[in-house]
Amino acid sequence: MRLLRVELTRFRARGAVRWTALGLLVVTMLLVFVAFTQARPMPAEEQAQMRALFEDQVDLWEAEGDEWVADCEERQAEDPASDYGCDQMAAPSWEDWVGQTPTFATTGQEQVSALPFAGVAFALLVGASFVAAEISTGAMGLWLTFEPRRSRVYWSKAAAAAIGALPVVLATFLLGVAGIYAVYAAFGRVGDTDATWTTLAHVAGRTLAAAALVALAGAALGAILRHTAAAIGVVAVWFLVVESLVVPQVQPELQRWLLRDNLGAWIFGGSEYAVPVCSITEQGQVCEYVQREITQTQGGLVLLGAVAALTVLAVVLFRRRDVS
Amino acid sequence: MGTVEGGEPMAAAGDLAVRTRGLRKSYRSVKGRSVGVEHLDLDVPAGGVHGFLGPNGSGKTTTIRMLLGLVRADEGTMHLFGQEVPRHLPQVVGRVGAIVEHPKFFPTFSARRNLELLAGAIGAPAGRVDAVLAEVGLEDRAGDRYKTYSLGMKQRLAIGATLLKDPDLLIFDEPTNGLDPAGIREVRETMRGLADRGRTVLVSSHILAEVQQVADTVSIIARGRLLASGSVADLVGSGGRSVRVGVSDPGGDAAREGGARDRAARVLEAAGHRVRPEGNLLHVDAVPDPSVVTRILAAHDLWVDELQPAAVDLESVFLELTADHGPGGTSAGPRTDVETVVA
Repeated sequence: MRLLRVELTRFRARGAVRWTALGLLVVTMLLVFVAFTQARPMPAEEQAQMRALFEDQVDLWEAEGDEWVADCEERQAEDPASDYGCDQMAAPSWEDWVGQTPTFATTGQEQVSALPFAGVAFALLVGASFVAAEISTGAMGLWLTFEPRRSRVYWSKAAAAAIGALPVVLATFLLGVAGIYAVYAAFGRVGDTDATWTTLAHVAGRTLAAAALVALAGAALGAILRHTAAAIGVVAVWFLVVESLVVPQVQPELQRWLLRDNLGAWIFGGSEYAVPVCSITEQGQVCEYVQREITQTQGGLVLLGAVAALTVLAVVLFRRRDVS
Repeated sequence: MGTVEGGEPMAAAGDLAVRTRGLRKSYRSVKGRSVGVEHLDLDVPAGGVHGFLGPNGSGKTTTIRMLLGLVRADEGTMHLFGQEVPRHLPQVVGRVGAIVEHPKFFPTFSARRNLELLAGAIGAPAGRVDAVLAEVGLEDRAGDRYKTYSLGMKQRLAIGATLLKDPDLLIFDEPTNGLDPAGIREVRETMRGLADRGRTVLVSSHILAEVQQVADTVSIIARGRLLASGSVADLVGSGGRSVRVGVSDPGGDAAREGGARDRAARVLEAAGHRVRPEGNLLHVDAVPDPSVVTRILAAHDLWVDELQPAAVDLESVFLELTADHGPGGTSAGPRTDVETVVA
């Protein structure tokens, strides 16, 4: 506990932690601004222009609509194997034209869903830099002359990163939710929030758990790679290349095990990914994308397993390596 | 009594603060394997200042790192106050304070805050920080940010950090690197003061004159091996006398004096003396009697113009001991004499 207290003090004092927290705050404010641009009602002039366009379309439908439907039905009769959607052809409605009115309970909640990922990214960065910077600058050497039991040193640092990141993650999440809510409330577009607050409370709790685990993973990467830039680079390549490009294109079934999707499943109570399912028909090979589900339980277990594997490797290396 | 290469250890194990036997450390690299420390037997007696001398790259820092558990030894045993390390390092680390190269502190924290953090990690009593700051003479600047400190003050703070544990053994690795003369003097006086108060100070350095001023005993290593150890007085005494000699030809031709000096050097070396040029003179080490030099030169028709007895210092002992150890023995910079095994 003594070491942990000291490490928490060092964590709070680090400039890198403060700057990264500031970055997270900026990202949160940007999300609130995005919510503002989507929540505000359309200006009257723009609305008048849209109304005029809409009325033009209504006039056109009234003049030509019957003919369009007749043409469609004729083509459908010639090609019964296809679905031309003639029964869905109808006069334009104003609701369809301008779209659903955004509310905090619908659109706002979707915008809030970006906050946990930002918080988790913060936890990863500060976890990695907290350990890697001490190793790369040589500060670890001084520390180990005071406490040579390396396992204790590792765990105190990793735990400090995990615990130290949580207040920032929670504060920015709450700030983001409050900001987005305030934006919608200011325009009278809160909507039906009976279930929203419960959902957001659960998301907040699971975000904190995920942030703590990811901070541990960041600390492990920092200990393994010994440079913050290397740790960030590996994570960036993993997510941008492996998870976003290689796996979905080469082995789509493996998306089930992607960290990004499993992290999302854990935080939001499940997630989906699409895999192409192809079959041979008279027209040739036909592929359609089928949605597959990742459960919240699986998401949590995959996250836990990945963090455990990285941590075991980091502890082994940290105990055995020479400290320069 | 001092010992030279291959001799017996200078003290019984019970009196030693540090003892290593057969210590070996090698490093792998793309070029093969290089040896940093080669079967080093090191004894540091408890009490006083012990200089750990060697040229750059001779294995001093690696040895210190192994003693502190920062680097794993390939072979050999190490003991601190009779406790085997690194196995029992946690039990003995409270008695050891160390500075390895330049320690890193928080630049925006004050000296006091930095020491409080370290004190918190080891559970040192609350008053210990102020006592240590006073001991290293930083009490007046204790509230200032670390980044405003001079190099000498930073080094004194580092020494202060090692004192938080109230250790019996202090290990300083090249503590005066980068310091100005005033800073060097401050550190030297601090080390001497610590030893005078009953502590053991092990200080590594490649600046021999500096160590000679403060050390009671020394160990000299080159290429990872112990060459000599013992008290400074014994080691300097064992080197015999040295003389500076000026020579000329009997014909007195000034233009030929350079040639005479070279010929004299060859003659003296052939007679078994170690000779090195020093301006227009020759420096002849380990001379039992200066008259021997004049007799040898006269026998070869070389006249001695000048004969100056020279005081033997640690530097000349060191140069004499390391002269046979190739380029890595005495020269600074990258070592070229390391054992290389191509995988």
